[in-house]
Amino acid sequence: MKKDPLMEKAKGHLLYAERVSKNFPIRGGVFSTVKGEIKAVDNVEFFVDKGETLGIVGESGCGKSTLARLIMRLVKPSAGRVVFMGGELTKYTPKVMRDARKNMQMVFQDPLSSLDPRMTIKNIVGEPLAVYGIARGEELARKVLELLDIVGLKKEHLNRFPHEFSGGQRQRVNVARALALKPTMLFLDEPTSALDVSVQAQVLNLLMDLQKQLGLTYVFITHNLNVIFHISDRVAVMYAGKLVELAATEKLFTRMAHPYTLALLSAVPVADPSVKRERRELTGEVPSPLNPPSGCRFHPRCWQRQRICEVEEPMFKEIDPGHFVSCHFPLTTGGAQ
Amino acid sequence: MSDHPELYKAPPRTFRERIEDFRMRHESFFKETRYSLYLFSRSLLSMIGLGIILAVVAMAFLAPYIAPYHPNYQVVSGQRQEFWPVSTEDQLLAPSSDHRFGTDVLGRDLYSMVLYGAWKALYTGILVVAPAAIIGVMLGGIAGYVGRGVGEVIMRITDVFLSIPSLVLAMAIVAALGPSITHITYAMIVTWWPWYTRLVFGQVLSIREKQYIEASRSVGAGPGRILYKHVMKNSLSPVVVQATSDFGYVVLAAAALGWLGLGAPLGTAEWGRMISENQQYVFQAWWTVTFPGIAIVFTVLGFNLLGDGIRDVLDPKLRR
Amino acid sequence: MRIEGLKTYFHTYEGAVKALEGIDIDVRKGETMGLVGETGCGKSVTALTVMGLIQKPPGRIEAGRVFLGEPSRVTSLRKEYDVKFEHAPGDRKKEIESIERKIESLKGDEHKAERAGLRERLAALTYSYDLLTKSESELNEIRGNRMSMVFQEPMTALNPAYTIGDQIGETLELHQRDKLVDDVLRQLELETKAFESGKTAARKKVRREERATESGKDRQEREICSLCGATARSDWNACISCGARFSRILPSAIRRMFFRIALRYYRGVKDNPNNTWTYLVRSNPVTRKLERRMYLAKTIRAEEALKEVKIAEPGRVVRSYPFELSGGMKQRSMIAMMMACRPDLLIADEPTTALDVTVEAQILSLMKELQRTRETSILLITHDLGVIAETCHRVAVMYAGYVAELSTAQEIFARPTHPYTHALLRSIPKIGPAHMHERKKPLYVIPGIVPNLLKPPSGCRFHPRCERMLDVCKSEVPPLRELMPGHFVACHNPVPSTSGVRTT
Repeated sequence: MKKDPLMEKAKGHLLYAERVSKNFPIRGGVFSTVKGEIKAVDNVEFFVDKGETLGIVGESGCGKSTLARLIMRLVKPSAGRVVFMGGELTKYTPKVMRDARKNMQMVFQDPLSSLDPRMTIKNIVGEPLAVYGIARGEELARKVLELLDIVGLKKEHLNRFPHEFSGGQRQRVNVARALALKPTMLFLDEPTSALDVSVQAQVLNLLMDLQKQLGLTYVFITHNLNVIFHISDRVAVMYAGKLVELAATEKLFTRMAHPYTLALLSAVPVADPSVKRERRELTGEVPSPLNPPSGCRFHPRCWQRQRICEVEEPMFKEIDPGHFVSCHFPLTTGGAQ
Repeated sequence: MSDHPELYKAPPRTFRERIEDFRMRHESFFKETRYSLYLFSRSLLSMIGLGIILAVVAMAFLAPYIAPYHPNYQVVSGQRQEFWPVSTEDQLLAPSSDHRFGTDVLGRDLYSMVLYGAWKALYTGILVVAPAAIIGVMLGGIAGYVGRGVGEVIMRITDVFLSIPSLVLAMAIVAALGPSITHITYAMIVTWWPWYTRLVFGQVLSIREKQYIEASRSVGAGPGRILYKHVMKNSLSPVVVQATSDFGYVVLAAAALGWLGLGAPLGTAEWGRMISENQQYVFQAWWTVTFPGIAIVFTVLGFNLLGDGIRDVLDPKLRR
Repeated sequence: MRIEGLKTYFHTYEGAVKALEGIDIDVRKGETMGLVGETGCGKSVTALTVMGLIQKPPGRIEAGRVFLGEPSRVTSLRKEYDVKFEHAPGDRKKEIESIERKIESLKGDEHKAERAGLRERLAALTYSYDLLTKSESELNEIRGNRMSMVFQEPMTALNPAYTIGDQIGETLELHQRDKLVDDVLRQLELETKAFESGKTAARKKVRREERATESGKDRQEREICSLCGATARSDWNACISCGARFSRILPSAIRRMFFRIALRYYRGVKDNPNNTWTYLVRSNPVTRKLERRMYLAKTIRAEEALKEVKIAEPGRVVRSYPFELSGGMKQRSMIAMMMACRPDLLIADEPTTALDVTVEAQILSLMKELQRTRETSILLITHDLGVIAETCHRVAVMYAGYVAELSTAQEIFARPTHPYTHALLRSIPKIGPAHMHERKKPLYVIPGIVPNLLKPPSGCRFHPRCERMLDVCKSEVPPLRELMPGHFVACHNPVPSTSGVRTT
């Protein structure tokens, strides 16, 4: 019997995603005929190890949020396979998936709209427990209180409505809800983007603390590079639905290989007016997912493009141990920050 | 994680403890309600609407006690019907201290009839709006949330029902089953629920995309639970507003049907019927038509104002 | 612009929200002043108050003055009398009275011009620069014209029902109508000349292969005038540079008549802009066609405004609706709209918060460039300290309705003196080789939460969260004092200048 090569690759990793893609068909016309496709995520392959934090950065429309939802199977992938904790998620029936879902939870972006405005905190945080039948009534209240305690909220918050809380507190409720089922891995979709600077620091500290205490694995999606630098072990950079670079944090920030990564990092405003840096300002806009450029999707904006970049899509290759790039001419010497 | 002895407090036992616990658990709810009432009271028109409705309700319930004249009741073909005492010498008397609103062509006291008619109006209102709303909301919720095939089918059925003329249907039902207020409510329910379906359909479509629905799905909630607990609760506010205003419109429609002779049987004190029985005498005895008419107008106005007031209170942009 | 002692309260159901409690900020000509603070500190309220956009029922400006710099004619007159722009109207009573008496004494037609001149001087003297005392109509003339605001969400700040060209044109029509009329007159005269000399032209399609633009190679077709070769606009019937008409439908006599009507109309509009006659022409559907030239002039100017913000394909963008554009392009269009009338002051309320990092960098460099070329002063409001560091000359740090620290950008980052600024700088995660070792360690957190502005803390509003709190902080509000030249701090116990925070 042939051994599944994917399972071989996935051994030792908590999560392994192989060539995951998602295409959204665009319907139009009288009979809703399929007119075109939006390739939101295209052939993404990566892995996550237990206990680490993988950061996924990219600008809006690059597909990072879609990727998270694909892995969690909140959205059905068009192609690709995902192996999580030794089992192939993409092959699960809905029933088995429901069980598997206990181990992967998500913290959503906008703290206000991710909480049902008409439910009390107790019901919101207790919902996972109620759905899976883990606890009811008195027992449920107790467990909810425990969770609130973990994230730093108090007993009197139990029966309040979301709009009575501040952004930071609401995000804590989100985290509490995500932890209710004692997951192994948490996806965090821009958890601090809607928060103030000082509250962001509190929430990040809480997340790092919880990670140490509970041994969680994080996949942290954001467009804020400062945050990624601070809390991730490895970083993946996405552009226009494709994964362009994946490396350990330090390496990515100091010896980045993909031109887009360089541009991205140089565009981040730095809180020190005395620093002069090499700026690579990009012209143009992020390409439309309806009609992505041919070949390498970054080539229209790349300053070192050659003929081959317009024609052939580069492969996602490992140029250094643990450092993957998708580029025909990865930066070798330049880009030191 | 720290030890919190309060987490393991025993559940409330004594009566006082239970009250305290209840108050604490619903503290937020009470605060919201108080704020809503405050907002409502800020608007003069809404308070006027509320006042009118309370007056109408009072009229309906207190009619047997405050009306100077009362009807007799007889059972006709299995139904209890009103019969007002007819008197030939009191025909078409102008309003006086004896008859505050005057008398109609058959000598019946208009004031008492108007009072007794209030109950019928409200009764019709509830009997139509409640079932129509329930059916409409359920169908709209399912159509909006499930979408695609089922949703399309439901919405097309809704369109079909929208095109049924309530008048013709009412006539058909009355012809088959006999005149009665209850019978015309059947006709009105059938033609009224599509509006709610449309309303809820739109609401659900937008709520469906909200992040908290996605969050619920990610913690494993199935569509039934989501529909019931999340989607419905959040889409109800326009329904409440619409239903309140609709109360008034139902009263109006019922009066119209009564005016046509459908609905309440001959001799019942129903506002529409009263107008139709007396309309030929409007130039000699204006009071016979005016007072029932004013009653209808006020009721509809009251419900409209109330509905507007509720809408302003529930509108999230105007709150806080 | 100078803000003095501005207090704005919002009177709500639960009490008065003290959003701004006496702030003093000034923006000098040609500089960028950054206004930094977290949610609830009052920076947006400041911007809205300055623009006069606060909703007056719940909001009320309790105290304060906001001065906006002066139009030039008034400046020169004021210089003569040596009046500073902060002076209130009543300050120069003596001169005002003497002028008034002189006006009284000069009666009769022969002194009409003199009286007009004197009245002008009177207006200059009594002119109040305090924006808060101005009526709505006066503010309408200033807004969009000498002072404009760029909002945070370009998606919602642009009207989805109008094209970009229409929206930019609205600003132009309100404030620069005379320039538009001049444009139209010029074009009309050009066309009449071409007409008289018998030139007519046909449009020609020329294929041009453009270089690879950002979204791939583009084949573009341009239409040019066959006589002079300039680009022809598709919605115009005549060429812009030579005046030759493109269509030959009407006989020349009728066309000549149309020209004459249009010329007379526009000359009338130029001489007397608020004539009721012109209003009548504009409002009825028959003669409204005359305004079409104006509309086209607006579109051309809008396109120029878009070119100045370096937007790609301005001709296409002018005709597009906001939903057809990306976030960066929308924000550029909004900047174009706000800069169209060359305002003296641009208020930018979180202009890049909703945008991606790379687009943000583009917009910021665009704003810096515009400031350089036009000498516009910018009041940049944001919560992102990085943006502040990159673009601002001076910075004001706000907390809970008052200014905590105000200084140059260099000073604020190198020597943050107010404990809040100090803590804020410590709590942001920073990138850089110098910070490698800080990774994965807990960030510094300012204890406590942002105060509720309904019941703000007594004395210094930061005292419950301050590490350096003294007893006096609980009772007395610290005034904004100049601790070092150009560096103002409102604190009883500021951080000594030796413990700077290095953020590289």
